[in-house]
Amino acid sequence: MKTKPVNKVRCTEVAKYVCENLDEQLNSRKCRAIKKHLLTCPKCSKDLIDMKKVISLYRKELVPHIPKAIQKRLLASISHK
Amino acid sequence: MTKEQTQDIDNESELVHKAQKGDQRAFSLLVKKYESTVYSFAYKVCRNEEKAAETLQDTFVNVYRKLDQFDGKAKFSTWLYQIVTNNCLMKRRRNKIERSSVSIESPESPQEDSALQGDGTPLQALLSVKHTPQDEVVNTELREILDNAILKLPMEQRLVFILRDVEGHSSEEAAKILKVSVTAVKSRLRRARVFLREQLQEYMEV
Repeated sequence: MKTKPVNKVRCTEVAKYVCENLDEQLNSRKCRAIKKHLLTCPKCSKDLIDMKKVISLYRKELVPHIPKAIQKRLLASISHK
Repeated sequence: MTKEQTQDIDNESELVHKAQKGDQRAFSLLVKKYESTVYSFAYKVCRNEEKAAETLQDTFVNVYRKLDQFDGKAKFSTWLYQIVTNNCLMKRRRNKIERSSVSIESPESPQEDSALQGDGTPLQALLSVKHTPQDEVVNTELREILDNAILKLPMEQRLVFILRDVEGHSSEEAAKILKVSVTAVKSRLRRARVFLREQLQEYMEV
């Protein structure tokens, strides 16, 4: 089977595509073209790394536990319903 | 799906069914199961312990009131997230109205709105997280940077970013929770990611 040549992609297109599909394992023709572009474009690859860093910062952030007093208050308010 | 997961869903459906019939113990068990999920999500959205506690309370009051409307077509957790996100949006709207009628100089910050309990005790007095002094400095600095950036995001984008990137829901699930199209989720996510990357650029280059 003949395969079509991979089209060149522009940085703006890469940014949009990467933003929407950052954590999805895609293997389409377009996705392969994007991956190829990322290997050769320092700006796009830096943007991608930075974006992953941002997500990681928010994901790793510690969230405080519910204070016991708030838990008690919630259960008390429910039992009065 | 594993046998345990199937059993878990069955147990949950039974709990919801019992709670709908007025079983108080079943409702309390549902609250126990999901209180951390709701509090954690609310905290990530409003970046403030008092507001997260208020959202937690409001959410379960709404769940209690609307439980008979839950038809079991969606997952209970999806329905619950719909209520929490709705509360976050409502709170944001209420705060905007209050701010515009009181002052135009008070931007949303983690320290605002010092709510009082019914007995007059500041709610803040109930909320404390213990850290070492060194951790405290690093955590406070980083937290402030992250707070400032995410609080500048429009609520619609903030909710999508937290659901998708922070909590790891799929685009389809986020769309169901927010009652918007998957395309809208992706577009909001793209804008949120670009905005946050720009906001935190300086911090990442240090």
